Amino acid sequence: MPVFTFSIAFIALLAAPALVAIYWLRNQSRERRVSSLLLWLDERQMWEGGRLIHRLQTPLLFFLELLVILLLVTAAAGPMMRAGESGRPLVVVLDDSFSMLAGAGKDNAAGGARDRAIRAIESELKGDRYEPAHFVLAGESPQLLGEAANNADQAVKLLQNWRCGATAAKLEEAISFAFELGGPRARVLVVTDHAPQQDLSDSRLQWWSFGSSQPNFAFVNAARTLRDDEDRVLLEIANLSSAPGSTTLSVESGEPNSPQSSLQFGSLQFGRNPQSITLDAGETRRVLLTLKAGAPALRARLSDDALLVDNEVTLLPESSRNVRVDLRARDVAMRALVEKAVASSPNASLSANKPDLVITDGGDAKIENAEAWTLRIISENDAASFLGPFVIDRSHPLSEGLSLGGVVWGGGKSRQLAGTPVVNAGDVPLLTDVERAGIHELRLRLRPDLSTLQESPNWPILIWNLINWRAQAAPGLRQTNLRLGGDAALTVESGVESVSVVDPRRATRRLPARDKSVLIRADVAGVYEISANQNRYSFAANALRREESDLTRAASGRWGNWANATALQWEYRSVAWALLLLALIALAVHAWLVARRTSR
Amino acid sequence: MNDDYREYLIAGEKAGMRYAVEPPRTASAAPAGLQLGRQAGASLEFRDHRDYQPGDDLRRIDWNAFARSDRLTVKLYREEISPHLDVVLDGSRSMALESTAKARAAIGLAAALAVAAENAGYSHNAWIARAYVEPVANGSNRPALWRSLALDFRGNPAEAFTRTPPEFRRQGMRVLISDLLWLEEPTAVLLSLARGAALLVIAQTLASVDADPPERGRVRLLDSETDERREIFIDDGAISRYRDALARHQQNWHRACRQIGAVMVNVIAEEVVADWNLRVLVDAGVLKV
Repeated sequence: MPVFTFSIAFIALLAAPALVAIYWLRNQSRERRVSSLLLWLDERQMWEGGRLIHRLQTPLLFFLELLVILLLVTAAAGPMMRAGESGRPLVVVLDDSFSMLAGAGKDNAAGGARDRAIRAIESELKGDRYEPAHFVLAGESPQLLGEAANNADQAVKLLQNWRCGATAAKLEEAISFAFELGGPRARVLVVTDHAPQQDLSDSRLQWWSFGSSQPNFAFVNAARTLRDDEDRVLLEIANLSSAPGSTTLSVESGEPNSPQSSLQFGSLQFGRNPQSITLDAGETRRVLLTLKAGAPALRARLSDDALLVDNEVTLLPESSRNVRVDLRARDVAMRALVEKAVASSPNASLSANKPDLVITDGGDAKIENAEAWTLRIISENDAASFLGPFVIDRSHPLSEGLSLGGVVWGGGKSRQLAGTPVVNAGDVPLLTDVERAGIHELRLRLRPDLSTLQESPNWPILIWNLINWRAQAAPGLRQTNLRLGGDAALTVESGVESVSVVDPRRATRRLPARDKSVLIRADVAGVYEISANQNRYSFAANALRREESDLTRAASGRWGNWANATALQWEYRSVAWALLLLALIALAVHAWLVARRTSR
Repeated sequence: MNDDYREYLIAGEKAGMRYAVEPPRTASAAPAGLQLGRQAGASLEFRDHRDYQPGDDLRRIDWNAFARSDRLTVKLYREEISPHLDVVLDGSRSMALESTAKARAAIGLAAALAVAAENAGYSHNAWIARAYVEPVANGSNRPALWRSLALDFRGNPAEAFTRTPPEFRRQGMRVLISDLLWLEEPTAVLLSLARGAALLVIAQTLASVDADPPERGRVRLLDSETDERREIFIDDGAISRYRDALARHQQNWHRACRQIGAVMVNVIAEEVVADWNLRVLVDAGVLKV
């Protein structure tokens, strides 16, 4: 498609109707039959009455003159054509935040911002030539959406995977990534639901917004924690508009539509009779609920409004990953120290049955359970009290929160101790870690009689870190309630190579397990179900982010112009000379036709 | 033949009843072949002498006079005139210009002359000039019986006179009725017509629109013979130049006629058919009442 740099020149097209009028008027004359033209042959007085009027030839001359006018006007408008055959790369940055789903209700035939954006992108790709077209999802971090598309159909197919499941769209990062991806000739198109915060300085950048400012009630926070054998639920509901408004809140626990889905929470009765909530403009209301420990999933809903995805939250009970600790310490004092530290950890219990962690002070104690981790506490006779400085491997899970300043650590003096040092006193290792196929064996040099470590907070911290580390390595989900766009970390048992994930849309996909770990991106709000061999896990993803639920700043419009002078220099060339040449040729033909007619 | 033309012939015949062809000079009412013309000719009646001029017939030199006066003189004899009229009608389409009385006047004039010839005791023959000068069927009978008159020739009838000169009656009177609107030199046509004629009369018959240009403004002129179109803007200047051109054209014909002793009259068709008064021919000495 040609681009015109001086479109106002098209005003000169008014010459075309003027030409038609000239032809029409000149052909309006009375016809008179005479005996002979003999006496009318005197043409000497050319500029006085009586000169011959040569009838304008139509249609050939007329069309030639019309063609010349069109060519000259088009040339004056500064036509620019794409240079070369290859298209220009295009990188489309897609706002992947869930606010792009606003307006996608059943009552809106035009669809939400995402639907309108897809239609606009399809139209752009069909109307102009881009090769290739890349798509970058702008979420918490930029992410490439599939392979590059070479035509509009491929692009539309790719865009079906644009789910708008992120709780934030970091567009600046995505734009930088897009420019790096596309190279210096690429155009970048940002598709979002709000206006740019500043003027677009780069002529290669266009910003299309498809949002609209609307009031919206939303859950902006939701949490469920197990405490004192009770599940405590926190819901925060915000009126994200500039005027007071009301919504209704319904809460259910258990399977949907089950008889027990109507529950009593304190003074509020939730269930089939939703409670009305009135909030001032911008007000946020907290709702605290208490459930029995292990109660099934809790679902809270607000009445439908502009953005549906933030009107519902599902909160699953936290997964309990209890660590069974087999304490085999023979030293009474040492055993008491360990027992006290283990008791302070919420996820641990002492048990010799299939222990996950064995803590022993026997240097060569044999561990029957191959999956169990081991902490060997070594009390050597040739020991010393180390005052520091202590060198701590801060990247190790055991070192989190340790602060050994002022601590006296008594232990063996030899520089030899198997494993990777975690804590050293100079060149003497005091705590080491040996890993074999994901099974850790830790060695701790400690002489309580020469130490103050066990009397400092560092001792329970160390044990808590160990138990927590072990718990995280146990099969199961790290979190059961996530924000939309987050990653659910699942640890699987040894031997599990892949897991099956059913997302809230009931779409199933298989994900490989690496190092007994699987990361599952929650890009759709709802409950995910995971199958890993015989084990079943579930987690919920909820659209919880005030900034994305706030639609008051949404807007529609287009900013930036690819066809400005800078961009044109990159790929367009003027074709005005060709049009002028054609006009000259047409004029020459016109002159020849007129001359031939005159000579006859 | 066009029924209108029959009507024109009858009208002309009726008009011609009042007139008779006037002999070229005062002639006796002798039978055919005995009328004498005004010009010198080849009859046996001696008329006069004059000085020899190059080109004169050597047989006419008066050798006796040469012997007496040592001057070359030739003897002139009175011309012998045949009492016959050949009426030649221009058969081109311009003679039947639509919306004018041109055809009515031209055909009626031919018929009137034929009747006037009969009134003078002349025989007559009617001709029509198209690609050739052809005799009109029944052209020697009274005009109402003429047949196959057609004014639809698209060419130049002047060429017919020079290409194959017609067999007119020698020493007869000949009349050409035409608008003369062609580019040919008049002399060639007149010489062809005048060869062997006692008197040649050229009756230029124009419509009033031929004499006066059409109305002012933008006009698309259509040539009635060639259908050629020409866009022209007519104003006072154009009209003036048109009249000048017509006057020059007529002067050329008058000059040529004088040179060969022919008589030329100009008639306007609409004026002729208004009352069928042929005074212009009477004034020219062609007809008498």
